[in-house]
Amino acid sequence: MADVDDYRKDMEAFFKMAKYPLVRQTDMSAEMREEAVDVCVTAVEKHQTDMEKCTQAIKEALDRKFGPRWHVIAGNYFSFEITHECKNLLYLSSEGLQACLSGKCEQ
Amino acid sequence: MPGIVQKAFARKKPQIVKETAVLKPANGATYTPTVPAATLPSSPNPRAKAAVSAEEVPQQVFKEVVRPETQLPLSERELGEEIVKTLTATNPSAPKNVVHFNMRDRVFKLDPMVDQLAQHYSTDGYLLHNTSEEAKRQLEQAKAAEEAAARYQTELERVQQRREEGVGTASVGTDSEPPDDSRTLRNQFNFSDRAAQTAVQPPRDRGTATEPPPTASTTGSCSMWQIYDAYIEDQERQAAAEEQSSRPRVGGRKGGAAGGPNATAVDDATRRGGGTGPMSSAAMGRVARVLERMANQNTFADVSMDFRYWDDAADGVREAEGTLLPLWRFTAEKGRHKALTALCWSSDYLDLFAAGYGSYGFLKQCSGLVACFSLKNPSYPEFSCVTDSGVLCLDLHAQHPNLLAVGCYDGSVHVFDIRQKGVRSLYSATAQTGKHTDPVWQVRWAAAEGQRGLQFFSVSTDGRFTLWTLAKNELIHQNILELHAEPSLAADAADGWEDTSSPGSLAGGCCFDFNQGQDHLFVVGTEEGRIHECSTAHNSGYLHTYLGHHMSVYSVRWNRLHPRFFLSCGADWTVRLWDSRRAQPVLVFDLGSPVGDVAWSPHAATTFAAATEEGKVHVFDISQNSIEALCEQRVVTQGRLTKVAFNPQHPILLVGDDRGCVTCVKLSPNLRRVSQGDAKQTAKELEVAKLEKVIEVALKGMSEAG
Repeated sequence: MADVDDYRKDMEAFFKMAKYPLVRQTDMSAEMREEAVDVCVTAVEKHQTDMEKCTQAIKEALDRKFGPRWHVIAGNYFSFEITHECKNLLYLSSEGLQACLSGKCEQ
Repeated sequence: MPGIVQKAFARKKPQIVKETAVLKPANGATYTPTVPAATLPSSPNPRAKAAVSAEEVPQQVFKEVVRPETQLPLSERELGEEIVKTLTATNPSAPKNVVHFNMRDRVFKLDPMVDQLAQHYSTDGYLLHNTSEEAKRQLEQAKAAEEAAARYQTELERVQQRREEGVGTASVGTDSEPPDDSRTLRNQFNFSDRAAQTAVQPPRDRGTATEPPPTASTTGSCSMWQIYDAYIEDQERQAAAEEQSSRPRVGGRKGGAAGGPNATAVDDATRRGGGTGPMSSAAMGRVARVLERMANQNTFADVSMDFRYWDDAADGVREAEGTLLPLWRFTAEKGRHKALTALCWSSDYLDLFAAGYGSYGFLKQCSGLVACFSLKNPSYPEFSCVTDSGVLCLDLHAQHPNLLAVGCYDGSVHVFDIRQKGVRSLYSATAQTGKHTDPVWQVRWAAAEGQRGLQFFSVSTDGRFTLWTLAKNELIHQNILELHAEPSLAADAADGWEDTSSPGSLAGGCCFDFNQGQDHLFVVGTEEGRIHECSTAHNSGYLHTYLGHHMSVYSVRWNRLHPRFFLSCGADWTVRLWDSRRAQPVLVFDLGSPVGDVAWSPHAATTFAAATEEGKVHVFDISQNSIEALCEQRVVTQGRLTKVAFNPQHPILLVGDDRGCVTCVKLSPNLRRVSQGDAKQTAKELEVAKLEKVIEVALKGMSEAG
């Protein structure tokens, strides 16, 4: 039981700490990254539970800002292998739970 | 013939009858000769003869006289006998006593009416009389045919007209056929416009493929614990960064993948930082320089050999002619698009020279460059320094070979110490410290050190001839002379024109040179083409004025051995040799192009070189040829030559061009003949005597001519 409690305490501390978005991988330019991170964070905050709406929101915002054909994955567990246009990839973790991956690619 | 229809008969050829002359009367009447025709040819009867000849002409009758065997042979007398023939209307062969039995009278009665017609020849004609039946029928037929043709024609015209009005006939096929009245048009609405029948251009596809935007592939997976790990890692990194608070944090939080190369870059930097020490040390620099020179000497081994040992073997054979051998070419990276404007050999180090880069163009001014090259390292300058304004002139001090005086286009003068690299300049004259207001065209160190320190002179087109003294911290200027445009001379030159310049206006100085013998004496060449001899001892005016050049003087040079003679060159294509005691030039050489610079040889008193804007170097030895150059050689294929300088010792010549390139050329033996001194006279004395001899001859020639 103590272990579980410790784990829970640990996780609570972790969630408290991990309030900020963490960019794990990107090849965007600085301004573009800032904007994209902003978009992702707002969308994740807005749609905490509904991942589908979250991805929809991110995609629409990014399409509006940087031109069409963005592909967005958001969720807690996923893996991916994607081909994307250079300078157009952002992979970030937000609020310690969700991870968003957005890439622009040619269909 | 109207009314007569020609029948399609072949015309009958006239029949030629040999034995009997057939007479065909034109009027159709029958003519019967009273005498048998066979006798006629030999008959002397003129009438019969005339009749025969009349027939002969149109009918081409035979000429041969055929005598039938049965012909009666006649004697001459009988032939000559005249026989009278009468033409009668009676037929001789017609019976005269034809009788008929008269039944009423029961008696034979003489018929008085006997047919007298005799037919000798008859033929069917093809002419019809227009009143005859046959003719009438034929006429009717012709008329019917004509009417048919006319109908056809009108129909044709009608159809054509209709087609022109845009209501053409049904099909294209009928165009070539005659219109048919009998057939009605099958579809009178199905007419097609000719313009619609043009060829249809086949459609073509053309495409261009653009480069696809660069893509990259990324793989990864995301799960709760990976996110946790990433945050923990980030936290640790932040903590580490905070610990080293002295170092500013690298902007942005990088993921694990990005962290790798980042760390190595920092490592690289630190490693490099640690390694700069020994690499940039003075000892390393010296070693590197030695290595560079060795590499260059290996690269240019053949050029170095030529420099030391090459002599043009042809010079032993030919007289008064020489050649130049190009050796090295010096270019500075920073001076690539600038013109070479100044050259000066170091007097102490015989392999070292300074080159100034700038621009002569008023509209194309650029920053300047001072570079010092060594012959031992032609590929890279030993010293280089960029100046704000284009360099126009420079001079290395004779006693202090590290000091370099530089004059710039903006009127400033600078002093560099070429030992110190990277230092901009030791001294600079600015607007506050009395810099020139026009380009400085020449600077020259004073030969003797002044009481206050090192001094140099400069001349500029603002008319000032200035002495600069190197004080402890600054340059002190002193105007030695103001070059006044002399009103009287100006008026003479202008020939009656009002001298627009005020009496106090200044003449622009372009160049000057100090006399080798007397330190205070110097000549100044001006933009107007006048050359003034002046002295630093008096600043009131000119000692002499030499008139000769029509355009600005680019260079004046005193002879290196003889104190009386000097050379000048200018934009008027001429090089002039002057005796300082004569107002007129002793010798004038026209080189066919503006002469950028002229330089005396340091050893031979009669040898000098001139560089022209054509790209040619002319080397003269007036003791060998006082009219033409011994050598006239193109040194650069493109560009104009600006400066020329003799090495103080070696027989080499530096030539600069407006492309920023310095070419080193070697003089062939004929171009560097120097008198050899002996016990009685030194080489210098011999040289002076040689020059004087040449001048004497030239003056004699002038006086004879004049």
